[in-house]
Amino acid sequence: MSAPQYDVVIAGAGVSGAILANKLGQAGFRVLILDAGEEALFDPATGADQRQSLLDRYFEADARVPNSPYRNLPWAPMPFVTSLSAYYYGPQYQTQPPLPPPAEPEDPGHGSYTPFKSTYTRIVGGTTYHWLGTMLRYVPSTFRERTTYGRAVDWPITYDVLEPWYLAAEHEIGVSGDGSLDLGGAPRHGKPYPMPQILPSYTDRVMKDRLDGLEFDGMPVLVQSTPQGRNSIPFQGRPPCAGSTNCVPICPIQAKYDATVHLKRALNPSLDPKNRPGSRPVQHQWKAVVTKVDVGGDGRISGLRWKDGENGREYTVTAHAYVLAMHAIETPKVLLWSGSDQNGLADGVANRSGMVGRHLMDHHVKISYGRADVPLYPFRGPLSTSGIESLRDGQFRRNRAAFRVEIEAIGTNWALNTPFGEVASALMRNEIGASLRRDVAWNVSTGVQLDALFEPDPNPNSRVTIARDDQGNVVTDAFGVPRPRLDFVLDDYTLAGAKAFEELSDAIITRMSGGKQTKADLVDGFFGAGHVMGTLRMGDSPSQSVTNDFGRSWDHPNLWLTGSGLFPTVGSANPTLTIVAVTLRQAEALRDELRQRVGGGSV
Amino acid sequence: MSARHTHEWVLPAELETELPRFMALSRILVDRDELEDWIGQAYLFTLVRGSADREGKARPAYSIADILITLETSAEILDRNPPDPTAAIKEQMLEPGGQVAVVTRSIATLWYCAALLDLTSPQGFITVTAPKQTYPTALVWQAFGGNPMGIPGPYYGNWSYPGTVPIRPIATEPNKVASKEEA
Repeated sequence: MSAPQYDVVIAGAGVSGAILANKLGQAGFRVLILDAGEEALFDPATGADQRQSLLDRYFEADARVPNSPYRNLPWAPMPFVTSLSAYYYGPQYQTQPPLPPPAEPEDPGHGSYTPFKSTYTRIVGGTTYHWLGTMLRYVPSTFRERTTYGRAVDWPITYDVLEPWYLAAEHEIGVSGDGSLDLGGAPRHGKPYPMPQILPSYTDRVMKDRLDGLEFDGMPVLVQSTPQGRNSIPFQGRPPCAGSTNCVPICPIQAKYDATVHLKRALNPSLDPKNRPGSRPVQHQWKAVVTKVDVGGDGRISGLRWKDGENGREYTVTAHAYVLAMHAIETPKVLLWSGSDQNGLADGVANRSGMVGRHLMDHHVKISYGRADVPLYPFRGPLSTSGIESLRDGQFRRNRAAFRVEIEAIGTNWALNTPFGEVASALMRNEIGASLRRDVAWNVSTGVQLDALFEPDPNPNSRVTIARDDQGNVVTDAFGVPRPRLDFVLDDYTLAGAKAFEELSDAIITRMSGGKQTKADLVDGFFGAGHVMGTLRMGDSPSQSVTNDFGRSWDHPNLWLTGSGLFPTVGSANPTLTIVAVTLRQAEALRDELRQRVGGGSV
Repeated sequence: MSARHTHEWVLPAELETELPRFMALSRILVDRDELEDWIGQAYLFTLVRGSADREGKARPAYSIADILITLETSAEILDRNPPDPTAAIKEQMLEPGGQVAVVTRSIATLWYCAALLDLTSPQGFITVTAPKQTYPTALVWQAFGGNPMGIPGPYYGNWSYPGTVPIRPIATEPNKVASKEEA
């Protein structure tokens, strides 16, 4: 058997893949990173950013949704919130002919099937191009939910184990925050953030004032600065936020972190401020659609197959270790598609537990809104600068979902399509001229919107599988790669949490309106948060989980999985900081493993 | 007129000489004297162009006949009602409804949003986007002092203080709608 071409091959150049590539290249290993995306939008020689084409596409888009700046590649289609059924497949997506849903969840009171609404971006740099930038830690009990609240499962690691990695992650990404705040019970032990907090929006300041002394369910309702992966001062050669009001779907000046920060360092180690002697530039292959992993007779992964997006040719690349960093939908899809009767893994690679693809999660988002009695001057800064984190933990989690509240600095943009909705509404009332301007100005400026992110109940019936039609034939995209079938349960635990949020919303809107509005308005149903999680659960036991606590496959010792797919539970906080913390911890384990295995790495 | 980009926005022969009347009506609709002709041409072009969505389905556009009658009607009203024809435009072009009202409102949405909106729903989702050069000029941002989303903002921290555009109370009911979700 010939020597592998690389020490490690990483599939996926999003935040996890880029950080792993950077760290392993710095350790002197031979690394190849693959991504389906078309090109890296920066100059690897200088690190200069080149995102103007993305902005141009956004300015021309008719539907300004999270993926609107990004090209939907013919070889790597991606889901859009306005046309989910063009990519996602299953009974919830107008599949023709209609498919039956899977067997109902075992406990019929547990929830009901609903479309999975979150999306992701298949681009070099991944979905961090359009993330909001929220950098909260999970609270310690989220890692011990079974032990603490008698529900869901425990992680194989505790908050204490992850805490130093959280701190490291905050410095890797560049987080602006106030280290003195208790954000719902995630202790920092006096460690500051690398940058001062982002100044709160004017909306936040009014709300903090108005909510003074408010309590909910025996807990204080505190308006607190959100730790954010956006600059409050120059950092990593990137500028402070200028108030471009477009964190999602793209920051025009890269004041907000995205994975190209680490990708540049990976491809050109001299751009890394911590560059070490012996570091190696990471090799890359773009337009590479990963289709399968091959398994050798010894149970180790023997190759990774990818198709060239331009000519459709299939190639195999070999390495000592393989990392699948393609998110919680594409990664299980590849693992399941890699299984066959021939390799004796008909249920999929790395799937002896049967857990691959299961426990798909998102933070369901409920939106409430109302009208303040004073102008709040929205749309002038980051989309959100503060939140209510003080309701994230408590004994109530035995019975209902916890939630955090994101306070919007863009008025009722999600609820009412502000400011365009106000223009439409005023014109329909035949307002023109000066009265049109006054009407729009007041209605836009006084809108208040609260977005609650709920902790989901991990459910084995929420899952990613290979799409098959009613005859059992695999349903592929235009490039011949299977599409994902998604089955997703909206659980009663979330619905109970939503009920609590509605009560809180009434109290907040009452105060914000000066008593003029005592019931908050609610948008029907739930939105997705863009947080694709679960499906590759880490755990203590090979029979109950896909990987160990480092993301290493129980079944194939040279296969490593990464990202939010690993999370057994997800609390109510946005996941990216935890993704980075877990990835940094994994990078060290993988580096140590490679040193043992290949003796490689010069550092 | 600024020469920039206008060569890209070729108007049909019937509308080639209509820009002055389009601009005159626009000035009343948005209550501004200083509108730029190159933006007007982009919007008049957008009004007739229509577009195709991702599935190739045609997007709304307006017939040349509807646009011409709207501009003719407005020109007569402007002639008859100096110095401020706003009330007359409202009474004679919007309140009676019909295609003239629809086109008139759409001209206002172009100036305010640099796009045509779906005016059958209060959320006013964008149906056709005007040429990208017009994006930062959309008047809605100026109306309340917001930053056009995605255009680099002015400076760090400006958002923490009241804006400079005066915002005065009005007497209308809050805007309320149902969900905008789509599976």
